Amino acid sequence: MSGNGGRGTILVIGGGISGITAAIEASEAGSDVIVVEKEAFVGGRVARMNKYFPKMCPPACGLEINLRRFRTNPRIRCLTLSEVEKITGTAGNYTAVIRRNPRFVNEKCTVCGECVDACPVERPNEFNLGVTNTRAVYLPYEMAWPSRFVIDGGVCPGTECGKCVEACPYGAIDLAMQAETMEVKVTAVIWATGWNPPDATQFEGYGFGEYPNVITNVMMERYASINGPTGGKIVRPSDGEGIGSIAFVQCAGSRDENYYEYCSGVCCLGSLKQARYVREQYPEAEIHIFYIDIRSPGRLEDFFTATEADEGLTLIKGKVAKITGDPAGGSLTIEAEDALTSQKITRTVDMVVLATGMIPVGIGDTEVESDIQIDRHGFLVGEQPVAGLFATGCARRPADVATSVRDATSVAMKALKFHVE
Amino acid sequence: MAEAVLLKPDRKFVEEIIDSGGGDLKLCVQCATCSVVCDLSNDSSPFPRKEMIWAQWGLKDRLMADPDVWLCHQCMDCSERCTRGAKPGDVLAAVREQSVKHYATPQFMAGMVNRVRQIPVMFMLVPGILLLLAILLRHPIENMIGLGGGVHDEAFYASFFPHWLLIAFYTTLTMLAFVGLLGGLFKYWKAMKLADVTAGRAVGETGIIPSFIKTVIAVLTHKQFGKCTQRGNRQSTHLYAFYGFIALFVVTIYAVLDIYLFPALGLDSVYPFNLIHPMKILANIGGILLIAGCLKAILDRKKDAGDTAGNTSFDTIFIWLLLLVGITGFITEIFRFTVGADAHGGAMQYTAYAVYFVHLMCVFGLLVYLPYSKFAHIWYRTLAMVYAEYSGRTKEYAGSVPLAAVMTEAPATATTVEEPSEDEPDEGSEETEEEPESEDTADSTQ
Repeated sequence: MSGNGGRGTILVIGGGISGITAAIEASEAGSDVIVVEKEAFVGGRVARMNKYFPKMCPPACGLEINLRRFRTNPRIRCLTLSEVEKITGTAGNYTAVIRRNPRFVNEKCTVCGECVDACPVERPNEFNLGVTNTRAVYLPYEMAWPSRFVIDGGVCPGTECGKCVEACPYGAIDLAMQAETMEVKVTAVIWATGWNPPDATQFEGYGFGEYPNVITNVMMERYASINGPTGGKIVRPSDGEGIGSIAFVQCAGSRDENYYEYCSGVCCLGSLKQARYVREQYPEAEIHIFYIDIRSPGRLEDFFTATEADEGLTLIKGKVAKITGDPAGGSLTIEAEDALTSQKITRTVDMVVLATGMIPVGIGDTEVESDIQIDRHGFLVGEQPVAGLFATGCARRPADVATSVRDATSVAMKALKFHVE
Repeated sequence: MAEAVLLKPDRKFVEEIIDSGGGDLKLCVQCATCSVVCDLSNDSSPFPRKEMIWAQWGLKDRLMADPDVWLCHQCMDCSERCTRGAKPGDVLAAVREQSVKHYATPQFMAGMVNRVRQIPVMFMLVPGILLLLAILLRHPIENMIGLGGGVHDEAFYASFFPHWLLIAFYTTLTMLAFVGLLGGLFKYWKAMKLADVTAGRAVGETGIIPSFIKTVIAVLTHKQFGKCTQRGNRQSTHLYAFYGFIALFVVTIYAVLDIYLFPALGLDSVYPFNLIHPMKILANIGGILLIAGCLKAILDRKKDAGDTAGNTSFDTIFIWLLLLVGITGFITEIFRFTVGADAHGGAMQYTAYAVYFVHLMCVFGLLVYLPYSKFAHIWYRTLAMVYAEYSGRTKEYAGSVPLAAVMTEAPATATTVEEPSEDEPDEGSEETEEEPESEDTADSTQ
């Protein structure tokens, strides 16, 4: 790579808040950066959030500022819909094979939306965690960058159909587009692959997937978001009715050796934050949070104290072990033991939110020649034993946005320092 | 709820729990999943979450006064769903072992009969010597009290170990054991009641007699075992051993009546029973059930090797002893119908006597050590189940004073209140909840 005085290039895998931050910091310090993002847009999990804790500001606040720095920086080359297939080489001299999957939509796209109306095929919208559907040609979300439609090659029948091609007034759709592979030489690699929510259907006793009114915390973020499936209105998924009571189940599948043994560290604050979403919309709603212990470290304790002051909020020390209800919808009954009164209690609520944790993506399907150190939970070790390989953000450990940003800045400095030498 | 409690942790007790199968105790983070997934646990006093923290903190007094530890039937539903692998099911088993030891009278006996290294002394030497003494002294005693020759001495085993001696020997020792047992049961009842009364909970809403009847029905039907999901096989295992033992017990009582009561009533004594006598048939079925139950228990434990409390000497010694009673009983019976039918004499006869002697030793280990071994679970669990009914645990009620609340909310400066200390030993028990069954010689396969 050129233009940086021979300092080399850093490969950042993942275009979420950590990857974006690492890329910005490294590039603003004079390095070239290639960002590989497997989705059609950058922003990752943060883009799906309604608000951040503790300031309760929307992601537009932080993500958008960083995105602006990101997309206007000439040293950053961002490859969406791309995956790193292979990394070979040794310290300071790595070769990455990148597979670029076709978007089927070129740069002529103006996001007018004519194609969507023409498209006959539907697919689950993973931006809304499958709660809603999109057509096979879709815009990932309103603020998506690159601001361009994308066609899901997995469901699109291709040239046989071609209705979108006819509908597009700009000739922006090219259904013949093929996947390409490219090779890049890089001096350092940063995994910022982030996390996925767990499959909550595996959690015994919670009835996720069976009872429609049991949702997860990540789904709740979408319901509460103005650009979410309900336009920001928190309602019962089964019938769209408002809620009179809601329960949050902390540590759903977390701190549990049967599923995920570790604490993700953010779900307590996440649920407290979501309790505030509920309170904003339903001043009378009963809110129950069932917990093992509320983890609000450091300055976040203040957020806990302020939320706890809500008189309609009950905190119950006891992990929920059983949720029963009607698969057709309706209210749900929660069973737990209140450890502070030593009584078994049941609560009947309209909706249950499972506070699920973060499952690290790790190196995914990438083939890496060097040894990669991964802890027993699947998180990557931050500074790998082979020089020039790093992990940051939630790929390294569960973290909130602010921590991920700090971590990404730090790892960018390490990567820079490494390849300057 | 904000009164402070001065806790008296007993670290030695914690170590004992850990040693007797509760080794993963300290992994518990009190998430309380266990109490909810347990179908035996009741709403007003759920377990085993509270027992886990009591055990972690070494609160022996609380655990020893807790009926809930015996309401647990060790289904392992809790251990299976435990989020930390703390194995609450095994911890409660370990607590029960400590409970038997705690209430054992005299105390040292519990330490003696549950250790593998004591087997040669406690299960071989002691019963061996006592039985030998009895055999050596049988003729002098017979002459002295004028039994001379005895009514049944011509019977095969009776010439070796006469019935009067058998009954006198085992009844006396078992009665002694029961005196110890009753003391323990009485102390346990008092402790349970004191704990509830101190905590301000009402007890006695259900009378003792109705509570007892409900409990007996629950025991006879093994209703509680039926609620287990993870180790559902335990119900049939225990049913076999339980009804096998009951059958043998009934036959034994009948045999004693046959020998001593029937002649007095002018009826013919037909003991020893022939093979088609209803009592003999019952005895054989009982023996088979007993052996089947024990074998199944051993196999179940092999399969569930992760259950640490299933590998303690407390548990193992008892099951093997019960199995040996069954096996030696059957061999004794087989000899009776083969060698015994022959004329006296020959090496086989002495082999038969030797097996019978071993059988008697096993029966000794089972009955005489009853209050100190796992066998005591019959009495402690039954008592706890009666108490659970009596104290209204099976119903909804409020007003408990939970430890965790006290610990979390008590201001550090609050005045400390001494916990109720353990009861003073009180042997003068008049009020007992169960009939001691003392005639048991369990020698019915003869």
